[in-house]
Amino acid sequence: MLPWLVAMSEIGFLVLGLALSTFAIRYAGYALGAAIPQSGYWARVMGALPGCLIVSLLALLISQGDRTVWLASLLIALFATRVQNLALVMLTGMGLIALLRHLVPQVL
Amino acid sequence: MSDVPGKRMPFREFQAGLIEIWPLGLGVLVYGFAFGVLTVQADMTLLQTGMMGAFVFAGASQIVAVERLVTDGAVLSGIVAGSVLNLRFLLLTASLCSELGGRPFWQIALGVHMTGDESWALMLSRKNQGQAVGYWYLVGGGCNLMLCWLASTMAGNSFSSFIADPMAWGLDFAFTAVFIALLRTFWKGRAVSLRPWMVSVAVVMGLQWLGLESSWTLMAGGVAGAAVAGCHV
Repeated sequence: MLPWLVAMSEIGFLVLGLALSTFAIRYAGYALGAAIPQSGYWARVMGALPGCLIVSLLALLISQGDRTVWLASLLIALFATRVQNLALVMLTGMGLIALLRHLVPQVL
Repeated sequence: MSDVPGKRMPFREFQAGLIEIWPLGLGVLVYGFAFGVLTVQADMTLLQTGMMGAFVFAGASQIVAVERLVTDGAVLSGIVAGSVLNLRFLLLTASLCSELGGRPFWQIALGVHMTGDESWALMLSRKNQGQAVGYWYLVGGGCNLMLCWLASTMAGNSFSSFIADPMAWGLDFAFTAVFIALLRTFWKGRAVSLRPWMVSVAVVMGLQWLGLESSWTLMAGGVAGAAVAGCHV
């Protein structure tokens, strides 16, 4: 694996770094499972962290996009409140943004 | 599949997990393909894409890390941002003590590596329904998802050349749509989630306006929102 990493330069380091950190996090969760408080401040922080990270990521992605991305995100958010199928929401989003890019830029 | 409580053979349990997670595997196939196309934009080879899928096996963090690499060329911030997004695994695997406890190290390592949002949720859901599922069901589900993830990401990497302009197909928006769809599963009601989420958005917008690099902005937004959530009693 080492020659592969040397040859792959920054991508190799990205893969190795992320693989090691991800495994460490997963294993640490098991190892510390009994010690993590089941209630209280830190339990609430850890419970809310994933949702807050995804909200932050979406805020970044959408704010860095153009007007078609803003409009598509709004429409997909409304669609996702009705449809729970992940693949369907994703395919609809892709179709919607493709359509908007072809048809709407002149209007917006 | 029988839902009568009782100890099952590991292979039967593994097989049940492998089969019953198929609907979730289909979802993985779709956005795995889109991620595979993204890996081409990062100049990743088929082998690198496969290695990343096998050794990291955490879709959202892979997407964020490669997206960081494509956007900023920043390896370290890609690792950090991906790792922060993976912090939720702490809670997932922390809840698996009864499934993982008392097993040899290799089984614990395999079990935690195969733990994903979907396999973890499905196993606990079946368990709550009274089915005799546990460690091997989790691993079976994880194996299915890993196969779907590897096949779709490598297919996306291999056939991206047939897609002349990914933006024209809307592939660059695929992950935004997926995250929007995933977000609803994290909503715990207005009283609990609204204020932390608003704080996260405000921090992201503020730091972006100040010109901070996006990965750090992402982490600051997530941590700030979670810190506020911790104060909610």
